[in-house]
Amino acid sequence: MNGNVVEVKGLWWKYQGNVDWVLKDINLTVRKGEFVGIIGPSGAGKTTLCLALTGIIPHSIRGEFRGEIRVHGKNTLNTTLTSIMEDVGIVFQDPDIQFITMRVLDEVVFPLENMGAPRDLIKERAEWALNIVGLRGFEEKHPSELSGGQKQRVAIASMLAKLPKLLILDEPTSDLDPIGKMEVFKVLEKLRTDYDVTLIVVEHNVEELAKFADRIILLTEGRIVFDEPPRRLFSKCTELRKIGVYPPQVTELFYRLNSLSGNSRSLFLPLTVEEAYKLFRKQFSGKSITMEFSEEFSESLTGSGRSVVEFQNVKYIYPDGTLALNGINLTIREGDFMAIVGANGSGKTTLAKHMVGILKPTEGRVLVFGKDTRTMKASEIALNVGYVYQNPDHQLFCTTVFEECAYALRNMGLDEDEIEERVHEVLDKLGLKGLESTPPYFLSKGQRQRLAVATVLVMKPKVLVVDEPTTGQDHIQSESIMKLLEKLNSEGTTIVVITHDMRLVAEYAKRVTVMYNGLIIADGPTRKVITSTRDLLKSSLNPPQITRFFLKVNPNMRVLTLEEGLRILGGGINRG
Amino acid sequence: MKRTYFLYVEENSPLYKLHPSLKIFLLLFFNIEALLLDSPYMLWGGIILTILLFKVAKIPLSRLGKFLAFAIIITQAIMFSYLLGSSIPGNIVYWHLPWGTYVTDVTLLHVFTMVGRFMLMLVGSTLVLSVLTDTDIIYGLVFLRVPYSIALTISLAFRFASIFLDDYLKVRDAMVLRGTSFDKGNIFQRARKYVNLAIPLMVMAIRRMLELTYVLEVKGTRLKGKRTFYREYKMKPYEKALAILLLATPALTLTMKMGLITFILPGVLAQ
Repeated sequence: MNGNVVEVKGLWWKYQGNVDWVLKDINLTVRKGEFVGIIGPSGAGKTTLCLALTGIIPHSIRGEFRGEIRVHGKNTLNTTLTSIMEDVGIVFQDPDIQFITMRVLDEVVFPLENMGAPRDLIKERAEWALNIVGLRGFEEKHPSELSGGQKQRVAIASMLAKLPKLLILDEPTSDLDPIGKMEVFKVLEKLRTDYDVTLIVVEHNVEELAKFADRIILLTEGRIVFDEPPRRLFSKCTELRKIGVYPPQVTELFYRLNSLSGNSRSLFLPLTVEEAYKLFRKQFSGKSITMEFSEEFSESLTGSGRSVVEFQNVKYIYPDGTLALNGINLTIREGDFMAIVGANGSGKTTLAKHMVGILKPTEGRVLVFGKDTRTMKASEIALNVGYVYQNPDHQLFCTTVFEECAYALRNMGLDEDEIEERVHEVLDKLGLKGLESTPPYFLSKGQRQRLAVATVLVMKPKVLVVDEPTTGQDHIQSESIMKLLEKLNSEGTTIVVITHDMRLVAEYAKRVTVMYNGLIIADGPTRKVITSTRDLLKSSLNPPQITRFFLKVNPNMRVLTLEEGLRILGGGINRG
Repeated sequence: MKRTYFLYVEENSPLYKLHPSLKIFLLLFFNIEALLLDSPYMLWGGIILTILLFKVAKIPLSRLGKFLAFAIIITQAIMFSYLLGSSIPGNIVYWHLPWGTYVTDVTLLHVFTMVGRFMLMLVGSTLVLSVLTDTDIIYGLVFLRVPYSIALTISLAFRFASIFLDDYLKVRDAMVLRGTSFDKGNIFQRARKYVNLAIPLMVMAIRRMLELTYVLEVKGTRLKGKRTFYREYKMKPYEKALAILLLATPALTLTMKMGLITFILPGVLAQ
C-alpha cells in the first residue's frame, strides 16, 4: 500500500430501479492523516459516496457499480464488510438512530465486543475514547440524558474505540446547536493532530470546515467539481454561489471588497474572524467607518399589532418530571417575524407546542387571540395558528399532493370548489404546481418541506409556527424556505420560526427570543439580541461570523448581514 | 436515579439491582402464573402482593395510573362479553337475557378471574419493566443460553417500540392540528383515520430500519461467532434461590392444577 488511505477510480453508481447515476466518474485519493471535507447541495451524492467508501455500497445496497474503491489497499468489492470496517469508522447524521444500546458505555464497547476483544482491552479503549471526546463520567447515562452534541460525541467514541485509521462523518453536526457543532469539530481536530486519524467529513457548515480541513471536495449532481484547499476553493465565491454553496461570510466579504476595489482573486482571503480582523487592520487602518454604521442601521421593526399569542407565567413539566418551561412570559404580536433560538433541549419546541395547544401549561396560561388554550381543542386553535413540524414526514399521510393539501379543508367542511381553488393557490405560491397527483413520498426533502408548509398554509392561519425548517437542508433550500416565510410575513401572517441557524435568523427575523433551560433570557429586536454575545453564548449559540467580525472591529458595530458589512467597508474603500 | 424502559428508578431499588436473568424470570413468572391460576382469590391475592412489591422496589404507584384508562377499557370488554354473551351454568341464575343467554354466580366468578388475570399481567409487567433495561434483556437472555442474535433482536424491538410510539404521537398531533377528531364518526370512518396515520409511520419505520441496519453493519455486529460481553453479572446465592422459586412456582401450579381440585375455579365444583 502507498500512503493513500482511500483510492477511488472511475466510480459510477446508481441505485436499483433508478435511471440516473448518483455518482458519476468519481476519482479521489485521500492520504494518511488528511482532513478532507465534502460539501455540495442536497442530492449531490455526498451520503452515497460515504456509503461507498465503507463498502455498504454495494455489499448491502443493491444497484449498479462501476469502477474501483480501495480502502487501506483493500478493494471494497472483493473484501467483506466486516474486514473493511476493522479499520474504518463512520458516524451518521442522526445521533439517535446510532444508539444500538441504551447506555453510553455499552454503546462505546459495542464494536469491540463484536470483534471479540478481550475485556481488559475493551476497558482500556473505552476509557481512552470517552476521554478523548470529553465524556468520562457519562458511562451509565441514557441517550435521553444527553444533549445532541454529547450523543454525537458518543457515536464518535464508539467508532474511535476500535482505533480506526479512517473516520468518515456524514453531516455529524446538522442537528446540533452552534456550540455542539464546535465541540464535535474540536474532537475531530484532536483526533487528527494527536492520533493521526484520517478524516472525511460531509458538512453544510463551511465555516468550521474551512477552519479545519486540508482539502474540500465539492460534489454536484454526482460529480466532483472542485477538490482544493479551503482558501483556494472559497476564493471562487461567484462560482460557488451559483452552485448553492455559500463561502464563510468573512471570505465573501473580502472577496467582494477586493472586487469593488478592482483587485480580485490574487489577494489573500480570510477564512476566520481572526484572519479577517488582521486583514482589516492592514487594509483599513486610518479610515473612518463607524459613523456611517450608526446612521444607516436602525433596529428592525417588530410586530406592533394586537397580541396574538400570550404566555402568562407558564410552567410546563413533562410526565417524567422534566421542567421544560419555567415561568415564561411572552407576547407575540400581529406581524411579528420572530425567531426562537436556544441550545438543544432549552424548551423551544415545548414553547411552540403550547402556541398550538398540543401541550397545555402545568401552571399559568397561554392565550391565543385572547382565549385560554386550556378551554380550546388543538384542532380549534389550528384554524388560527398553524404548526409545521421539523420532520415533514410526520405530517404527510395522504396519497397525493392535492389530497394532502385538501385534507384540512375537508375537515373544515368547505365545499369542493373552494377546496380546489385554495389548494391550487397554495401550491402555486410554494412552487409545487404540476405535482398535484404525485405521492408526497416521491418528492425531494425540500419539496416535502414546502408541502408540509402548504398543508398548514392552506388553512390560512394568522400565525405560522415553523419548527427547524432548515435542518439538514442546503443553503438554496434554506434560503427558499426563509424567503417564503418572509413573503408570508409581508402579506400579514405572523411568523414564529425555531432554528439554530443564526445566519438565517440575522438575515430574516425581526425579533429574536433566546431560550435557556426553560427560561427566556433575551427577547427583542434581532440586531439587539444577536449582537449581545453574552446571552447567546450562555445558550450555546454564537452570532453569525460577519457579526462577530464587526464586533471585534468595534463593539458598537452591530452588523447582521454580509450586505450590511459591504455597505460599511465598501464605503470605506470608496473614501479611501 | 437510573433510566429503565419505564423511565426512572432509584439506583438502590432492590429489584433494579437484581441479576438480569431474574428480571426476565420475574416478567415470565407474572404472565405465566396469571394464565395458570384459575382461582380468582389467588389471582387477586397475587395482585395485592405485586402492588406491595412496588413499595419494596421504590417504584411510585403512579406508574400504574398511566394504564388506568387501558385497564378500564379491557375490564369493560371482559365484563360485557361474559355478562351479555355467555351461558355458563351455575348454582344461582341472576338474569335471563332476552337473546337467550343468562348470568349465573359462576359467570361472575369467571369475570372476576379473567379481570384478575389481566390485572396481574398488567401490574406485574409494569413492575418489571420499571426496573428493566435493554442491557438486562441482552445479558439476561444470553445468560439463559438464548442465542445473542435473538437477545439483540428482542432488545431492538423494545427500543423500536418506544421510537414508534414517539412517531405515532407526533403524527397523531399533526392530524389533530389539521382538524382530525379521532373520537368522531362511525367505526369505518375512525378506522380510515387510523389507516391515514399508519402511512407515515410505516414509511418512517422502514427508513429507520434501513438506517439501523447500516449502523449495525458498521459496528461489526455478528450474529454468529466469538463475541465478548463486557459487563459481568454473577448470581448471588439468594438470587439463585429466588430463581428456583420463580421456576418452581408455575411448575407447581401446573401440577396442582392438573391433580388437585382446590386450585380449580371454585364454581367448577358446583357443576
